[in-house]
Amino acid sequence: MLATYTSSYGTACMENLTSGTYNSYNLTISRGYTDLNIRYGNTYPTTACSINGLTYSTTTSTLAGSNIIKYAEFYIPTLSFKPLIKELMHMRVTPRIYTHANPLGFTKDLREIRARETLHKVLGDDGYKSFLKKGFISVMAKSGLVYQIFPGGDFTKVYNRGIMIDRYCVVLQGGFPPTDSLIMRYLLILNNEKMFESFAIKHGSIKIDPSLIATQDNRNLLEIFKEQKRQAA
Amino acid sequence: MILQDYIEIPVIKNSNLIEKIGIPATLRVLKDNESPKKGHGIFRILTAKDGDKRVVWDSRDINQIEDAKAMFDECVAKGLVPYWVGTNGRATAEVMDEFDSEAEEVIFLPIAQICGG
Repeated sequence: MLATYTSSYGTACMENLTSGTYNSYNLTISRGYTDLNIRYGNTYPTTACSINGLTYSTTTSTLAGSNIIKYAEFYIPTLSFKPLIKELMHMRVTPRIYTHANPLGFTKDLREIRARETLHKVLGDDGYKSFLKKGFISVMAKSGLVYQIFPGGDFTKVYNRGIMIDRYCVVLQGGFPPTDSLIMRYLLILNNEKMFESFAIKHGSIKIDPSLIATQDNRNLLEIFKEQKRQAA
Repeated sequence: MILQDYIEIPVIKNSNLIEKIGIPATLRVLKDNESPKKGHGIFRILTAKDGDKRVVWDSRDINQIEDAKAMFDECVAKGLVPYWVGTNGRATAEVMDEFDSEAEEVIFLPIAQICGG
């Protein structure tokens, strides 16, 4: 389920959260072809706020003692003419490829530092650099499925030939550092995928309603320019 | 066997029951920012308290090998699963059925602490 609001330019959508405790969640706002990923910490903003020039407001309600977001509304301001053309040109220079997730930050927690050292040893220099940059590791299991593993309590995403087929939640109880959980999942997936699956609570893949996906503007820049000029007149 | 320290690990899911695993006095616990020397094997035991407890032994010293084997057996008996891990990016992970003094890196996973979320 996705809550959405479409403005005059761009679409915003978010996962509709159900009751429960969440450490964090990702919010994706699309403007044309450019996605901005916004990640919140332990608390949800309950009042309207502005992030990176985008206005975000949400409504919360209390259900079974937990605050859940029932729906969210987003307003993406319409760009003025010059930045619009600039953004369109920028978007058309390169293909739309995600290269980064959430890079890992510096930590002072000695337990986490030790866990990262262990992961460094296991992944090797290249793999570890990639992990620091992207914030996740990808591993292909014997079955051919690719698992995208994130540190901490985040879901492990399962891909079959590039298509997400499921999301598993497997964690280490007892306050382990986030990277220890990642090491555990990595080892289990490599060694015993079935066992990993047996521990997992399956949350299913994210299904996006095709009607909510922003449509690509295939007109050339000259046509867009003419239309903007006509509107301005 | 003389012990220098203990590692505390929970043994049963959803309980506070703690088991202690002794670290033999002949083995060494690695300090932070310290790397094991060449020819040394290392146990990395995942614990909530320390992140990883890293215990090294010299694979050329028979006494240390014996103590490492004893510690390995104790860890397995108390529910930790030892993984022989391919290092430097070699993606392998095999469960070690028996202690192998040639193993460079062994990671112990607290299987009892794994659960769905």
